[in-house]
Amino acid sequence: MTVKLSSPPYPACAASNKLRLVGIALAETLVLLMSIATVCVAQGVLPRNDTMPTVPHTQDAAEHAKYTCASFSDPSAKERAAAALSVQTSDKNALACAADLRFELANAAATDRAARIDALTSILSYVDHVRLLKVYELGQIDWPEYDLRLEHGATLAAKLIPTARQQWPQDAAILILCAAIERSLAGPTDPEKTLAAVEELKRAVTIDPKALGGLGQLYIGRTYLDLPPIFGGGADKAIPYLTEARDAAPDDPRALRSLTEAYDELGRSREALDSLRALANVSPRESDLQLFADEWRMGEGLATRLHSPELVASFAAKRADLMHQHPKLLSRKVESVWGHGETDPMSGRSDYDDTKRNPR
Amino acid sequence: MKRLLSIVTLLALAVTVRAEVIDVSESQSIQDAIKRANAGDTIKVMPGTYKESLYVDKDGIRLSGVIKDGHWPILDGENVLNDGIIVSGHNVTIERFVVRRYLGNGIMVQGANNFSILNNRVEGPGFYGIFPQYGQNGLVAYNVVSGNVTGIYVGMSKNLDVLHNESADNQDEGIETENSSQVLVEDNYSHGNAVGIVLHLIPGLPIKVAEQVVVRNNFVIKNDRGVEAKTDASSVSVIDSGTGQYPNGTGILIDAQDSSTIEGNLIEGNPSGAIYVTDQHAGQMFPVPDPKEDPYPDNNQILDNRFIGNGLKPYGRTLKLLSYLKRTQAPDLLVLGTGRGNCVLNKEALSTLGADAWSECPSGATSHAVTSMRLKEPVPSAPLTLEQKGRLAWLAVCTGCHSFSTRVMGPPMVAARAPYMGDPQKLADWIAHPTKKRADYPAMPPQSYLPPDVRLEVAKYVLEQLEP
Repeated sequence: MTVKLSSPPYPACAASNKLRLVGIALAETLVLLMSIATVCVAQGVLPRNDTMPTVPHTQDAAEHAKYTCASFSDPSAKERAAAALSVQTSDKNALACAADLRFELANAAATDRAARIDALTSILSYVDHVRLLKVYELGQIDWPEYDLRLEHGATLAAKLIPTARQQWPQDAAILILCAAIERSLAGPTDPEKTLAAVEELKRAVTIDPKALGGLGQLYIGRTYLDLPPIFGGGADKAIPYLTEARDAAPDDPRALRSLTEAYDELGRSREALDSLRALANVSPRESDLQLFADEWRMGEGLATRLHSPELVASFAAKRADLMHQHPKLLSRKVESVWGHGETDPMSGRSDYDDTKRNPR
Repeated sequence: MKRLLSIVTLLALAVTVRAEVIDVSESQSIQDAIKRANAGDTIKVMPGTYKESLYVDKDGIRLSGVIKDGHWPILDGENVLNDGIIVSGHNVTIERFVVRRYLGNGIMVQGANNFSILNNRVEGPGFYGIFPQYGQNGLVAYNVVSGNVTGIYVGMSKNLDVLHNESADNQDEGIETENSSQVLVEDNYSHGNAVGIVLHLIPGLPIKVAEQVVVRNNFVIKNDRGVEAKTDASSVSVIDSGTGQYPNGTGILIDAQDSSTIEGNLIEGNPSGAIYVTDQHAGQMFPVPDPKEDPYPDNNQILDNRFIGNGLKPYGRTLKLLSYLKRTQAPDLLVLGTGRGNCVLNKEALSTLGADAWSECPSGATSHAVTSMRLKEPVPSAPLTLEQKGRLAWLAVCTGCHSFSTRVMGPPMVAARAPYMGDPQKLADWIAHPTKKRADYPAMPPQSYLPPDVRLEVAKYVLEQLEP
């Protein structure tokens, strides 16, 4: 099965201002670029009198967003394949296929709660993965591809979520997954949608505080941490939920890291360090090694800020070891673009140098 | 001791005696003069038009334009050449040039210290008009910069004074300090840009702090590009980077900057607001999570400024934000996100939003004790190594069009370098006189102004060190 996503919704308009400028660098592209700029101006994105053309990278987006999934006539084979793909958490296409296959399984068995939960879980995993890819890309060159992928995730979710809510209106796990997907699709960009998802998450965790090992509380806490106070967020609001999430799943690195950040934001360094130490003691799960590679990267940085050289060294060593053992794990290194990049030109070194053989 | 002093005196005299003045007239090449020059020499460039890119990698060069009867020496990139002037030597002065129609940067100082960029006129279209990067102890003064993406961009530098410049009609920012510390931005006129002045801590870069910038006595007027004015704002990000957009129409933006002061500025007619403060969680323009950076703006002070007619017609990002809060106009001080230890002088006199955690600054607080951020003595500077020059040239020149793995303006470097693997000289030769190779990409501009050894070093870096 080859999935080809729809054309980019906008040719180059989502490119940053920086991206736009680079377009002027080469006059030969002017004709092509002006046609793109015309579309953008029509949408009112570029300045009225701006003759600066945009970068034509979006023409690659649809191609890059394509992926191929194997076909299965046997549902159990499809289920096994989806399960195997879903743990390849460094691979956007594997996660996309897992979501697609589980979506098909859920559609084929409309009353099967487990199938629905699997499908929602895979969609959430895919959406969160793509959002992270987007977040880590300083140059924003591949954002159009990622936007297409998010659009695909949203399409799958839109077909499953309404019926799931209708069919299992008091099922905490279903409700958490639906709201978490909506929250992740909205991101912190849209506070109204985000806060609506938080309310839904709160309702779900009231029904069953232990559902999905505290995932609902984790998403509530993380959202409060990301949302500025002006929109109702704040570290003080996040901490109770993150604490519940940690208690429900003490080996979930996300809760521990988020707690560290929340305490640090409030200047509660001792508690921040306690959480960070707990994070350093968690053993990685084979089912999501990318998560641990990412969280230990965050852990190393937080330890740097919290002036704990011992933890800095611990996180760095653990992460390097993990990345070395698993060369497909993503390094999250920042690529050099427009004079920026993670490598220091004076020393030739960059953060996380020991993992530079891993893909970004 | 006497003998030592005598030797030092003799050496100083020798240097003085050696310093020469090299004249360049319109029919000659400035780069040729730079090649001939020695440390301490002055190159005087007569009025006329010079269609070349300059690379100054020697210490102590004074590149000085001569203005006669109102005629300036003009460096003209003709919308073809990349960069106007790249400086990689220490103690260099660039003064009295018109630099125009370059596609990359107008005047760039890379990894060099003790520099002065004075009395130039840098016209776009270009990326950054004046761009000191990885430098220490510099002066950027009396320049007029317009029509670029950013007028004056201080990147990852320290101990700089940015004084008495005019930065106008640039697509993004008039003046920006990025991951830079101890910078005095004073008595500049920033107008017609998307944002007047930006103090920015960008995640993911080698320098992890941005602090102690004083923005004082500037005129920050009508920064309004109208970029998003006609949009329905549906695609405009409110809080996170979303589309990587600045809160256009803003006077001064503070993003995760620490221990900085805004004082004595006239901030007038900026439609989306006077001062916008954000943390990296809430308002970062570049979204990369960088846990080694403190994401919050801390210990900043907004002192006595003059606010006139700002925030009356907000648009884009700011409009959308305000609409969620059922507001139609922006306050003098808009704070999105959190921060610690920040304060405002005479807070009651300002309209504020989101600034509940900002305290009242101590009465009489002022930055007047700061008269310069430059060091009293030139910072001792070892010449850059070839490896450093190569890496800097990669950043300055190549990354404008190439990234490692994806298409920018040029092909991904992983593909572009493939035919040259194992033969850096071949690549070095090619970039000096490139030819069009790929139908779906534009031809590369020639990089022959880079010295052969630097070109070779860039090629080695690209082929041997550049990794995903």
